[in-house]
Amino acid sequence: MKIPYYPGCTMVERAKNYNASGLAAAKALGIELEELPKWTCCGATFPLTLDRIAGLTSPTRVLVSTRMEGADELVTLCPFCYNTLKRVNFALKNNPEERRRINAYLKDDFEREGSTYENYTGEEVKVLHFLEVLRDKIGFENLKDHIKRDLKGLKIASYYGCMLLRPEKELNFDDTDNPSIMDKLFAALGCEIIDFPHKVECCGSYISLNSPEAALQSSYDIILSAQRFGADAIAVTCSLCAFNLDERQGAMMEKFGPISPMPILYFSQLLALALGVPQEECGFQLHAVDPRPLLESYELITAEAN
Amino acid sequence: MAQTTQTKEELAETKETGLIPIFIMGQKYEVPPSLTIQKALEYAGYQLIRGCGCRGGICGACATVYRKPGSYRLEVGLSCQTVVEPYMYITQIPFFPANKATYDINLLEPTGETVASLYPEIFKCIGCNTCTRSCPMDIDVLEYISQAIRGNIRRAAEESFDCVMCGLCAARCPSELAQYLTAILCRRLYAKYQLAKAEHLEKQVKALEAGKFEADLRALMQTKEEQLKTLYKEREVEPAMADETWEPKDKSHL
Repeated sequence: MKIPYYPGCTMVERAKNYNASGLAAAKALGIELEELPKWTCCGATFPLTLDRIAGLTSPTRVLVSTRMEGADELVTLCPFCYNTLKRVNFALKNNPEERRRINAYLKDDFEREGSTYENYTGEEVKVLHFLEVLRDKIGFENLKDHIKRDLKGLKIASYYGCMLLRPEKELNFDDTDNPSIMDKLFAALGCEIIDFPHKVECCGSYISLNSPEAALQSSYDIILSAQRFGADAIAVTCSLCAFNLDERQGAMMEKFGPISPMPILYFSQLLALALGVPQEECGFQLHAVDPRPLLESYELITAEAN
Repeated sequence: MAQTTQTKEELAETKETGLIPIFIMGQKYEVPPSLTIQKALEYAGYQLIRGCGCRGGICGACATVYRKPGSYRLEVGLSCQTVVEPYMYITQIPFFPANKATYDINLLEPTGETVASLYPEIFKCIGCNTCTRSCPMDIDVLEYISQAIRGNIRRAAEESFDCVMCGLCAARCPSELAQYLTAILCRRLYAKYQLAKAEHLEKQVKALEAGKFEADLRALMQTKEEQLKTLYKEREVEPAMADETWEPKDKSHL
């Protein structure tokens, strides 16, 4: 199965462990995530101003390029890209005037470069998160046929964040208040599922740029909550959640006093491990809180290879 | 398309004189149709002190924007390379003020963070692609800026390789990026830190420093002018289409 893949700007350089482990896991399942030959920034956030033509044009270009590759689906790992691209589809489908203006602009642009352009209406390319591919195209129950390494009851608290879930009407990804897609995945991989009340609380997101104190409090609450419910590690889907929860643990200790370090892992790293991807390809060395001692204690990775 | 503004009388007039009308900064001039825009400017009486360099399409000094009758589209070119057409509206934009970072290349690290800190405005890119449309060298400017944004210095350097630094991308950018300056930063970082070193070059420089051509050059300096002219005229020149196996007949200087 081959599906076009949109990495997004963060994946390539700043979340290499997420990108590499996600691609390796897909490959182990026989899915080829093929990076679009050319892609631009999606805008990273869906534009919420009234005058948003410019903000919608760039992500529409990504979707149009996907269609020009002859595809009708596009996979992302980054929840910000997922959120933006999927909401752009929704916006184009429901706002005829914006659709007309964006298409007029892109038609002119593509035709100058010698391509034939067909109107894009927001329905031609379906945006999928890799978790949806796992759930809907592979099926969690079928994963066991591919598992090479049982995760031996590793206690995982799935933290969902916001971007995959909201707004529910536009994304229709999972239950916004009580999501379960990652828990089902990890159950299939042999983890012990830690349900905890902070799984959809905000981590502080990009508030950590202009109000780091407020973000720190939010992330700290999440980590403490997961710890209280007995988690060995928190699994995330988003590199900004990873930044707030993982890289900011030092700052948390400075502000709130000592906590036992909590490893933060991308869901794809655990999946890759379970599917038998060599541990060197999972990027476990790229974390602020080193997850390797934990994984070694469960004998999921070996110390020598790192 | 041109028919929308050309009257029959005007066309007849063109036929008679052999000249075609063009507009330079809004003023009409009659010029021979075979000229480049640059030569047409000079034919019309402009003395080019700036906005003119190599006259060979390499230096990027003569960036020009023009429009042809019957179309709303702005077109771009290097004035030394673009031939005039009837009723072209022409203006040169030889320089455009763009934010130029100051740095010592020896003190930088070849990372996306370096590019981001020296040219943070690249993150204001809205992906409109106007830069690509404005490039007289047909570079995919949006693509190399996208690569710079995601920190891929190698791809940004490769995609921007043909850039002549004319600055039209920056002139047209709604986000006020300095694309061509960001690009040369990427090429410098790539060349200095990532590209494999050319060993043969280092060897040759060492040989030169050791005096490889010293005697030859000294002999040349003693040569009389007339003989120097003969030597120059009779020198063996590498053919334009020579492949990499070409060697001169006299191999004494290799």
